[in-house]
Amino acid sequence: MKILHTADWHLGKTLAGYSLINDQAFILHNLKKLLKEENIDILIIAGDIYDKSVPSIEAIRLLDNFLYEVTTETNVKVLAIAGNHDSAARLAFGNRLYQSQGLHIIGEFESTLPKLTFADDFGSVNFFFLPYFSLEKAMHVFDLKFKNLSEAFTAIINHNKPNIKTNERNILIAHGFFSYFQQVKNAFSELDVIDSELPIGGMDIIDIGPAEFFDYIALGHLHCAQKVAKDHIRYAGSLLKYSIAEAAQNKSVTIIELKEKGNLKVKTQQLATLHDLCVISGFIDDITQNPQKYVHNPADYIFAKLKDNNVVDGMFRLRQVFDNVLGLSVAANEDINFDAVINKELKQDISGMFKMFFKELTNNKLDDEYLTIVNDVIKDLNK
Amino acid sequence: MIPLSLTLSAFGPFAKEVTLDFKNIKNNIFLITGPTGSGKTTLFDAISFALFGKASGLSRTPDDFKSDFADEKTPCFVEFEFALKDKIFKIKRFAPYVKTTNKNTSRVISSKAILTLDSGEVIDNLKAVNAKIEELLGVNERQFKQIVMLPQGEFKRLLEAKSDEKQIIFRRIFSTEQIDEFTNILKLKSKELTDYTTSAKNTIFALLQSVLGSLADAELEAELRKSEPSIQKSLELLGASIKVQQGKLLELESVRTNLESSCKELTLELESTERLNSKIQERAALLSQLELLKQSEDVIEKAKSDVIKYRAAKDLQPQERLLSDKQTQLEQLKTVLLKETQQNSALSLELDALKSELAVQVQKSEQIKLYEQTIPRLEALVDDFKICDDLKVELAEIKIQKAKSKEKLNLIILSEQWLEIKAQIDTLKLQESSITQIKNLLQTFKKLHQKHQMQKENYSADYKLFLEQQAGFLAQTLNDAAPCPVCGSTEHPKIAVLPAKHLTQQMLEALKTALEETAQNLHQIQLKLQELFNALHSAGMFSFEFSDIFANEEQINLTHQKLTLNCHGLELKEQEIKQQVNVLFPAENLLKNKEFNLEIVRAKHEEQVKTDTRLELQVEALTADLKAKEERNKSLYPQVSSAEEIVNQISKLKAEINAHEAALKELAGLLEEKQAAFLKSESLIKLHNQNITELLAQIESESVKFKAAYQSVGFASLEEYKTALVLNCTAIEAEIAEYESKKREVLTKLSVLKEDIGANTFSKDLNMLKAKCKESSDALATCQKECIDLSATIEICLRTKNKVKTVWQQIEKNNNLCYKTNELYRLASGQNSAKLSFERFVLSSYFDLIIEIANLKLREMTMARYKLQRKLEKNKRHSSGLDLEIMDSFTGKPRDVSTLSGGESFKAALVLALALSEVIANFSGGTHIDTMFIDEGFGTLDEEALDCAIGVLMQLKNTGRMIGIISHVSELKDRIKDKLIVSATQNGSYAHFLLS
Repeated sequence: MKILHTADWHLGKTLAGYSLINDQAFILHNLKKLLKEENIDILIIAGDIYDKSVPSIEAIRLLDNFLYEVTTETNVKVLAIAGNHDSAARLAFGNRLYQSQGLHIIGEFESTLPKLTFADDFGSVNFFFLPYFSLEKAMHVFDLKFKNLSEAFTAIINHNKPNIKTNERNILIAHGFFSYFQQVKNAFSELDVIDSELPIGGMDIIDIGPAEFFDYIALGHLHCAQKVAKDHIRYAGSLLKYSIAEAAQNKSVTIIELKEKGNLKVKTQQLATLHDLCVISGFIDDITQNPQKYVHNPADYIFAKLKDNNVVDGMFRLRQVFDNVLGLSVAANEDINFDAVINKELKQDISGMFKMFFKELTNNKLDDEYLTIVNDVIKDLNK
Repeated sequence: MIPLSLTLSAFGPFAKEVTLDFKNIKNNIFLITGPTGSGKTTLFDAISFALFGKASGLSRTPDDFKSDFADEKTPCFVEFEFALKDKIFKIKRFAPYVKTTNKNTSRVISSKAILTLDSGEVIDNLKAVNAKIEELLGVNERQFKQIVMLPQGEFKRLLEAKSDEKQIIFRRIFSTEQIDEFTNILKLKSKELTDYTTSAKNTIFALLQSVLGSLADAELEAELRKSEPSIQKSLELLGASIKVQQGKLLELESVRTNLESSCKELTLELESTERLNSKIQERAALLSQLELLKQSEDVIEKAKSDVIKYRAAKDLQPQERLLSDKQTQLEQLKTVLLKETQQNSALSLELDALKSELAVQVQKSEQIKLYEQTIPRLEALVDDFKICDDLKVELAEIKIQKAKSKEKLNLIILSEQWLEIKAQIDTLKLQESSITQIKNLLQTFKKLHQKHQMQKENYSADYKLFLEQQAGFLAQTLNDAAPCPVCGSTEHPKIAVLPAKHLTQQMLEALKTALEETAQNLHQIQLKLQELFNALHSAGMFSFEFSDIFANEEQINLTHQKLTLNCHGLELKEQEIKQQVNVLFPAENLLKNKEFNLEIVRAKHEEQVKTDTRLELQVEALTADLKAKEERNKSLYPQVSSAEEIVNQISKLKAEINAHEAALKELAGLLEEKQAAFLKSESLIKLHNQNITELLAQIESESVKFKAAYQSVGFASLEEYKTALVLNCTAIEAEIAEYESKKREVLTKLSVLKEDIGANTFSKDLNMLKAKCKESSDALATCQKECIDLSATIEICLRTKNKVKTVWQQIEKNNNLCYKTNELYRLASGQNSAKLSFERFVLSSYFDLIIEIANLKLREMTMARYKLQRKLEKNKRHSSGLDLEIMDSFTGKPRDVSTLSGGESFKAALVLALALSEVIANFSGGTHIDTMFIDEGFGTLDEEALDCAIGVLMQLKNTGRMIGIISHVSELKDRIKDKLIVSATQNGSYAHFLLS
């Protein structure tokens, strides 16, 4: 059985004001081609299909077209779950009606995970759907108190274990922040995360351990395609680069060739995109005069990290050369170490500050005579 | 300031009392969410009201707070408990409300406030409470709103505030009062220094003025009169005039020296004249003295003669003494003689006594001699006793020996017996064994005999058979016609039958040999038996003959029986003997260890008997001896029973003898002594008498001599001589000497004077000279005085000059410091080219810091597009203002903050507020604002901006600060875990926490 695992489509997303819908349409077209070429049997979309709870009209149309084409032109079965960006109920509208066409979209989280079984040459393959769930939802569904998401996840797995025949091949589709380790810093060393993927106020990382026995776990949520410690637990990653932080990531879809139990081959496949997203670094003059040195396709989404200290009308100039400029930064805005700054500045005492003041006004260093005067005054001040 | 709990009662849409506990919020952000109009902002209002008595927004007033949902009776108040620098405070404030009384008149109950401090103290005066809150928080209500809250629609406040307003806020936050203090102190110091300079200058002028009087320097005076006299010039002038004075001084000095010399001359002259006069007078005096002396010459002469007499008497004194000595000697001797005679008589008496005693002792010696004779006899007796005792001891010993030997003898006898018996047993045993042997042999013989018989029978039978066989063989070979080999007949009526058993010749032979063997064996046995029997027979055991034993079996049996009987008998005997052995058991033990044989034992026995008899004899002899001695002793000394008594007696006697001898010796010695002494004393007496007579003669001669002597000298009698001695010689002599010396003195003086005076005479011009002298010395004195005065003035001037110089130097030094301090002060107070005061500078640098930090966040939020910066005033290098503007990297040009859109300005305000709170948190001292409330504003952001904003919020380090956000944005609801949910019902609103 051949499975294509993808996630985080974020259809309808805008980036710095640019609508990415065309890029998404382009890549979905290529995805459909790939499905045909590779003779895929199952397409898994592991959450975050739409970018917003109420998606834009273009996004709805795009998804509608794609799913229709795939289900009619191919024999591919589409298995999708809702992510944290999707509105679960809206996404899963009509799911029971779609099933006969080979389209399964599970939106709302239930304690008993929906199970779908397909047969191949080697036997049955069971797919379990675990859409994105919040702690409150989990507590509500189970009517229990959980301390954190990991606990909830363990409860879910345990609840569903009787339903899982471990001698058959089982695949879990889930959306969330899963890691092999509970610790945040370990998780960060383990996984490639961008800031916007972090929850506020607390790190609620879910330990994937309890579900390890699945033959394959298709995850969505993190935008970088990666495995979670083991080869059979993977994030597909987003289809396109959706932020400047992702500019360096390689986007791909994951193809799994599933043979008999214990035998699966995983490979990633890159898809052609309409535009690339890159961060270029250089001086404004050089960039504007020699754009081809920095970027192949001037239509790519560019973020310019200018080495100049200040540029007048930088945006305007860049827009002459590039079609899609996401933004620019100048060298003067370079990263400053917050702690160094705050410690340096605040830890000055009066004499230090006066030295700076003196230097500022007279451009001279405070010589010894002045210094003695200042120290005397400070002594009096402290009495 | 961290909120701990908030209680609202009848406040806004909250009809009933609602208590919110903030202590359980673990994360630093919490979300207040709920439908529109449910009362989210009211919560902020409540906090603001509790602290300051005012609403958080401008449009609302405290009067409006009372909830219309609640009835009149429920009081409208807010109780807010918060922690400030680890101290817990509680404030309860009642809103003013209108109360209608029964009579339909309305009264306005004004607001009340109760503040409970961490110490427990309660303040309930409204004004005091408000003042205290402001003191504790460090900010007033306006500032609180600008820093702590970003109220709905009014968040741009801080962003758009003017420099001065910002300065006020920052001053309170960063407590730059110290800087102010600093500047003030600089000012004071600068003033001090300038004052010092002026006062020092005044001192200088005063000094110069003082000196002026004595100098009469017109130039200096003129200089000093100037309004701004130059000290340098004054000093110079002063120096010059000092020099002039010094010149004057020199002149005066020379005049003085002249005067001095003339004065000296005059005085010298005066002196010499005076001296001469005095000498002349002296001479006259001396002459008169001499006259006086001459008068007393006679007296002196008499005294001299007296002295001579005294001397002579003194010469005679030793002689007199000698005489008296001799007389005393005589007396002494007389007394000695008396003593001696006394002693002598005593001694003679003693001597007599001793002699009588000696006679007594001599008598005693007779008795003693007797004693001496008895002693050896006694000693002999003692010896006898001793021997007796020895004998007794020996006797006892021998008895013991005897006993021992008897024992031994017994033992030996026993052992003899035992050995004998043993021998007997042995023989018996031997016999027994041989009998048994015989028995056994008999048995075997029997058996063998039987066998033999059987064999014999068998053999004969077999032989018969063999023969028959042969016959049979032969028979077989027989034919009817052939003759029989045996009998030769030709008829064979009875042909021998071949026996069943087939025998060969060899078999027969074998049987035969066997039979012969058996016979041999039997024979051998027989021989053996015969041997044994013979042995036994010789031992005397058997009575029956040997040869008829083996005749037949019966007899063998008989023999057997007899032997058994014999054996039995032997056994019995053995038993008996064994019993005897038991008796002799001890002997057995003894002999077990040593290999005795009977002979040795026997020999020992004999020996022992011999010793025994010997001993017996000894004993007899000794006892006889002992008896004899004892009898003898008894006859001699019946009362004495033991040697000891005798010994004692002997010693007693010996002692007596010794004592007697000693006494004799003593007496003899004493007698000798006394006699010697007596003789000595007699001789001494004689001697003394002799001496006395001698001495008498001497005295006589001496007295005669003496008389002659003093008469020759001139003394008529002894009395004269004696009176002459009484003279007090030394005093008189001293007088004489004095007189003489005086005389001499006067004479010498006179001669000296004669020389000095020479031919000169008394002078009378003395007075004139004196007057002259005086004149000259007066002049000298005045001159000197003048000199001194002048030099004093000069001294003062010089000193003044030096003082002035030092003060001047100090001023110079001070000037430098003063100048520098002044400069610093002017710089610090803002009187500089940039018109920037130190405080402003510090504040602006803090502000720069805040902006820097804000920019870090803004950069992220706007994808590095926007950057906050301070507005630079035109043509100024350094901006003192705290006004803000935005730098847009897209255009590269700055623009005013007000040009930002709603969402963008919210972002800017948010980052500024966050940066401010972070800087405040890291700043020690100053206010302690660690809470921030953001009322909406997130709704103005699109999803990208919202993402960025949330990202920025995420980065807030968990430094114990609390950020409360009111928002209805669903994304925030998902991302922020701790929520405070406000819900509205028909009866008012409710609020409760939903924590992770």
